[in-house]
Amino acid sequence: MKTILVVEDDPHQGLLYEQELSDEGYRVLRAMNGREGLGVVKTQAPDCLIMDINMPVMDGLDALGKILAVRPALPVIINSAFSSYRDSFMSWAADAYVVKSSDLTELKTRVREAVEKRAATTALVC
Amino acid sequence: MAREAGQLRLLHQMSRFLLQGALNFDQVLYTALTCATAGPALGFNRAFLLLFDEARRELCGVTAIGPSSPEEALQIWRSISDRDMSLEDLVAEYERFSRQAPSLLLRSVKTLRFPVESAVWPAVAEAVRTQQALRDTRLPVAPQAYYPQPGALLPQEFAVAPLIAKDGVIGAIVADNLYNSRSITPEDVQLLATLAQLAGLALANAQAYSALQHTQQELVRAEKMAAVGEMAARVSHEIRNPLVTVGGFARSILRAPDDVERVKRNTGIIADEVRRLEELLTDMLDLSHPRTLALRPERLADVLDQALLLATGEAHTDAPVIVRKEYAPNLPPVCIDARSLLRAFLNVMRNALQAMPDGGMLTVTTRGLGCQALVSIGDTGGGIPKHVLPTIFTPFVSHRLQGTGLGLSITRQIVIEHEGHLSVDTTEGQGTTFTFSLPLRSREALSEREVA
Repeated sequence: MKTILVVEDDPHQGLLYEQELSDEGYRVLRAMNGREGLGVVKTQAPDCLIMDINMPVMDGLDALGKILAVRPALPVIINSAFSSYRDSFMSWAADAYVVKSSDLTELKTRVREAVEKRAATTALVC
Repeated sequence: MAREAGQLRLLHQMSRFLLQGALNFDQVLYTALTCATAGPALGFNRAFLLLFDEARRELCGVTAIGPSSPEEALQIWRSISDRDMSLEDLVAEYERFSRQAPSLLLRSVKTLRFPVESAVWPAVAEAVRTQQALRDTRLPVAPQAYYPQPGALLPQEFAVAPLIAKDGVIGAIVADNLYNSRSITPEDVQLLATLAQLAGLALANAQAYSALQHTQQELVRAEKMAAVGEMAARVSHEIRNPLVTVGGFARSILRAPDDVERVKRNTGIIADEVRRLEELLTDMLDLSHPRTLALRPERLADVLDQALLLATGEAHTDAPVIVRKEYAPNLPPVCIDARSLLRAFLNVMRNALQAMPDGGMLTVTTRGLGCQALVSIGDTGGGIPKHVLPTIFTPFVSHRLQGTGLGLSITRQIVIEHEGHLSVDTTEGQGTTFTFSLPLRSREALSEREVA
């Protein structure tokens, strides 16, 4: 079972992603901010990271650099209410950028792609 | 000697009027011609001002001061000597001058327009070309514009001085003694030249000032637009997040409508998020519409107690928070709008309780300090980080997990409406105290304010 880490400060929205991705057959880990997310990747090895940007304590772009330093191969999907961060330098490090929507189809597609790509690279390395 | 001292004083006065007042263009024109004609100043009978239209290389009549006929001249002299007006008084008459109907002379001068190189008025052309003031007897080719009275007498002589600004000649002042035929002395010409020089500088100043004002207005508008843009971005973020949650859970229910437990939980969340959106709208409206305050003398302790009851009642945490109240026993009632202030206190108390998820102490104190009543609400939470402190009153900047990010903006707005002041004192790791200072108004002062 593939593991997805969702970093999202809004508890209800976090629950929504957890519920929906669990339905898709993923194991879902949740963190409330960038710092918590960083803590999770240090102890666990998720297959994909869904990252909000505007969060208290440590925002997503800040956390992204630190998380990628720990796990450089981790596929990252930025999931933000703003489209303007797309141009941010850190966003380039992400594999996909999704503007938050109540229709989770795109997010799920990107997750699937990311997980498959990771599986392929891992297979190649092995 | 006495005459020289008088001239010096006059020059000083003129430079003060022209260069130190925040004058607009028309005011400068008026002031210059008033100085040229006023008895206490240069004392010419009449003065006209022509400006150089650079694009067309023409001189245009712009304004004139002076009687249009000998009868009018007599009348004006009488009224001025009756009133004994100083130069200062005369300059101050601009408002009256600008409102009154234009005189025959002014209307005639305004029709005037001739190429500077033409022979229409050689004396003026010479003054503009050489940048020198002069006394001359050569009248213009068609003198009607200057001497509009049909069959009127013509002056024997007149003085011309070029108006010189930073970039060169911008026009000329012409003055004569049509009515009393007093002869023009070299001193008069010299004074007119100095006056024209001052006026030229003042006109350049006025133009620069108006350009600056225009730029400043543009800047203010641009800043406002930027603020609106920033606000819109924040609002859309605040709305999009609950919408994503509401829509997401609604879709989830549609897909699996028979899972009763899940449907129940999801609809509960939807209802919660919709309430959050409603709160956001209420807060935004509160922030954008100033309240009309119903000021009444109230005991601050009563309002604070009510706010405490509401704040502690809604906090769904089991963590033990001790409430310590230190109310000054002899604090007189304060004139406030109790409903607004209750809201302001409640906002700060909510923040305080949220800052202490593991329990702590909430301290509420009141005291009098001079003509101010001080209310402090303090917590023993984690404090506000230094980098966050400058933005805590900015709308939509929330560093907490709950709330719209408008609470403190509204709180401060309410305090400002009470002509009070809100300050914050915070130490990371130790806690935060907000202090409201509200004016202790007497009942009389209040009713005066209402009358006003």
